[in-house]
Amino acid sequence: MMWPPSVLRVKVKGESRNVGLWFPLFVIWPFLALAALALAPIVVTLAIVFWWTRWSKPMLHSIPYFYSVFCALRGLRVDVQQPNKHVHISIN
Amino acid sequence: MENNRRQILDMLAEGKIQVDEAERLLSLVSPGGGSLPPGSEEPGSCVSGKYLRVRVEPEEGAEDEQRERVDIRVPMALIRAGVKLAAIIPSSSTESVNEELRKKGIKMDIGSLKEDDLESLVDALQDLEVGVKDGQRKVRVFVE
Repeated sequence: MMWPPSVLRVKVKGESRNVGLWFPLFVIWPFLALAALALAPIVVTLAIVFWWTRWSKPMLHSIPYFYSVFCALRGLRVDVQQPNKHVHISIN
Repeated sequence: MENNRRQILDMLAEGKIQVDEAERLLSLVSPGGGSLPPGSEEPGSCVSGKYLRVRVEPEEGAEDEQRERVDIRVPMALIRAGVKLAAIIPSSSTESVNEELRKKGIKMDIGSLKEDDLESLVDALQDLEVGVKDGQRKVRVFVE
């Protein structure tokens, strides 16, 4: 079972001030689930209507594939350190 | 696997890498991160890397504006998911993407990207470490 990321951390350390942000991504999980449920019938309808085009298959697969990309963001970390600045972004 | 260990030890003997670096590399090439005793390796077993790491570090004596450190850790799952997503793009659109990539100097056909190919690439990356030095910075790309 793939779980979406639950926390986004952003830390910026500068010469004058430090900023540390902690975004609880798990708060948006229910909204994402609702949005996916609401979009599913629309996507299926569009896929049936445009069955003769090359876009029906991508349309049908887009929701689960975007979900898997979103889940795969867990573990992403970017850290950039300069002599007077430090930026750290991590998704867990 | 034995060949990789020999190469690392040779590099250590020649002074190209430090002891801690050699230790880390040996743990990467060892099955189970070096935690298994020698000989307990299952035949055909392969350690799958979880992250692609890109590290940029300044070299000794680098100028101040070049003293930037970058450490990026990309989950392999994200790369796999990206390849799957690219696979569903219709062929007419992949041509446009390929054209844009060609303009940037990247010659590849994203329409021919397959998940199986990616798995082989990831397996091959287990034993690979790319290191580039330009006198000011040291760039390392590896899988861990």
